[in-house]
Amino acid sequence: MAFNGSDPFGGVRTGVRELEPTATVALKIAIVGPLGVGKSTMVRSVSEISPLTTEETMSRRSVPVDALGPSSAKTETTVAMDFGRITVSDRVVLYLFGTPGQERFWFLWDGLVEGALGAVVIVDVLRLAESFDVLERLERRGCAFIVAANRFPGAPVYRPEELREALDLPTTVPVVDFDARERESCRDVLISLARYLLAASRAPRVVR
Amino acid sequence: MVRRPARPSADAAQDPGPMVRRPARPGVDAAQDSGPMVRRSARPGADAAQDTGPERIYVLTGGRGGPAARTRLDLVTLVVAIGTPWQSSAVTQAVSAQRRLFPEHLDILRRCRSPLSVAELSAHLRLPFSAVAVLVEDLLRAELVRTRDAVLPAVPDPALIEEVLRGLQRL
Repeated sequence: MAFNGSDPFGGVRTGVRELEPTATVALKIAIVGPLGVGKSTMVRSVSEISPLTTEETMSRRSVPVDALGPSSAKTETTVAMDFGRITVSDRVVLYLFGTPGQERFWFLWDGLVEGALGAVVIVDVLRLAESFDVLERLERRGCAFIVAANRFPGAPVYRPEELREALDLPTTVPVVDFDARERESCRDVLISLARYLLAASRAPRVVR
Repeated sequence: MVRRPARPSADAAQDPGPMVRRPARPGVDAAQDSGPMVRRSARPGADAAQDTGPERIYVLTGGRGGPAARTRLDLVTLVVAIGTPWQSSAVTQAVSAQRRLFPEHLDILRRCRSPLSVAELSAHLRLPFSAVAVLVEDLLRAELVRTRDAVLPAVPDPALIEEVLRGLQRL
């Protein structure tokens, strides 16, 4: 687990690009999917910074704050979430968070999906069933998402319509395939999401 | 292909059925996409600047589990230091003593000479998001930083999404 650019004095960090002072709008995009589906790979492929890791403790929201003291704190477990950054204009920055889809990590979603621009659900066509819960979770929260099938070599290729039907999604939800290792491919996934969100923002009731 | 069971009309006869699973391909193996990880807390006794264990977090936050509700800091709230260059260590020490700031507060001020998200601060300081949020709230109250709020309305402005789209197309 790397904490890149974490020198203690905040000096010049090679390869770490600082945000322009004009950056005023930061947007979240959640990259969700089961373990090993390519979330961290996608974040690494498109991020302008080396991916970073933020943490949260599992017990924060399940234990009353008053009960947390130096002794009880030792029993907390820590969950890490990878993220990266893309500057899209002088003023707007995107943050991509790779978010685990398993139910026991859903507490992380509270802070992530709220106010997020949208989500990319990465699926592996050989393990589609592992993504069903995540889709329902996003649908219930009203978070706009697209589905991106990571192109694993040797895996069968399905048409988007076949995947959409298997995932029981409305025809408005884009389903694309991509290679999480390739920057351009990941960028195209984000472009698909942005186009979808644009259509949704112009006709919000159709999609949300 | 496995089918999502939700829809009753789905025809199981068209399902090609389970397939042999290929081993993870190189580059997307477990080591690279290991997802969330349970970590052992830092050992007690590490020096204060490096120590990010539960005891240090408790000291830093005064036992506060998170920022006050009114602050509403988000993972992507951008934090920017106000004014003071924070370059002279004498000035820094004087101010930190007067304001009762921890070294971690000063670290945040140094890092936020250009805007930085709370998530990035959490990564650089190796502290949980909730602890960093408490520290940022302290700095907000002391008027040493300002924040740029992040959370979007349910339906974002199309002009903003167009700006994102154009930016992505330039990549």
